[in-house]
Amino acid sequence: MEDKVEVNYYPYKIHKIQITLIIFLIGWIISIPGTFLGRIGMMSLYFLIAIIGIGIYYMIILIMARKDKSETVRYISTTKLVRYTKWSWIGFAIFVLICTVATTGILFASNIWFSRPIRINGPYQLATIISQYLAPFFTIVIPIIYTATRFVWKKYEV
Amino acid sequence: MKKKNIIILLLLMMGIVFTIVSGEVKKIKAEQDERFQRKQFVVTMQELSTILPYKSKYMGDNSNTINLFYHLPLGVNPVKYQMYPEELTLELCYRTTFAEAGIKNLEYVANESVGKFDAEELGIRMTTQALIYNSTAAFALIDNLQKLIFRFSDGSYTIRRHTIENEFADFYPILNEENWSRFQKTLGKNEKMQEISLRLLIKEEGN
Repeated sequence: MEDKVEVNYYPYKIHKIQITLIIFLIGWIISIPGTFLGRIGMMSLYFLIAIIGIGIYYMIILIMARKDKSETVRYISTTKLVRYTKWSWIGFAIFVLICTVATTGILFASNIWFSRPIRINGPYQLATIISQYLAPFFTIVIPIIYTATRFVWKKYEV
Repeated sequence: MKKKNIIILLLLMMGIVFTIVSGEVKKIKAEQDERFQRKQFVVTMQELSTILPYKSKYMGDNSNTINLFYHLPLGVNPVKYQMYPEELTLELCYRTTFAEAGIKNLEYVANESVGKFDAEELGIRMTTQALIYNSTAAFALIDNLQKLIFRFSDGSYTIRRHTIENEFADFYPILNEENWSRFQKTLGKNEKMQEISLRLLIKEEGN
């Protein structure tokens, strides 16, 4: 099968981590103005934590790559990469759907049971509500990373 | 590989700058909010729009009623609420004395402790003003409320809907910006306010 491909492990790995970092950084920068609006502010914090984690991992891989004199080669499964990409998009869609339904439930359902309609007194309240709906969409970075890195192996094929 | 590292560093710096800027903006906004918040506990400066959301048909709408008083002057004082739905009466039990309640409110507004010298007098004036203001607001916003009892550790005061409505008849309908600010100005004049309080606030002994 053509499924398995040999790649130069460390350059391949580094390339993938760099793309991941760049996409996370862009996501973080976009979410920063949202720190005024609660929910997206939390996303901003998660991004920062993720970036720190990936950054440390990147450093470790860089050090290991430098020590690696023998140019390690490893097998990777290309069909798996494509499959992961597909499933990451499906997972993202399900996650966003659930979050949207939950947010709607929390915000508007009390009107059904307690006849206490939601009060939107101004642009700030409206923005907080929009923020609650928008926050889960930031997880789009994960399928984007899978999509952006699925063919990176071509460059490092042995 | 080098190129991407540079992009990563640039984005990182951009992110850090953004975070610092948004932090500063947030700080300024928080200060403004706090100043606005303090102003809301001054009888003559409270905006009608801060209490309008608590308009309700029924005094039995507990959380609404309690929230209303929490946002009115004296709202910083801990208070126990007792409702008598059959008599459409709401009773507020403050733990402090009449003067102390006002002093506490003043301290919150000024964000510093009030000097000992004439704190008592200032406090009494503050509470008097606030009681008139709060009961007017409560009767205007809560449709079926008929009677309010304010209990302090050194005496209690009962205010009925009709006395307030007679007193401020000139200002009705009171729930619009213009009439409300006229009403606030009236309370702001000390002599006028004292005169009104003599008619409205009659102290009953006991707690």
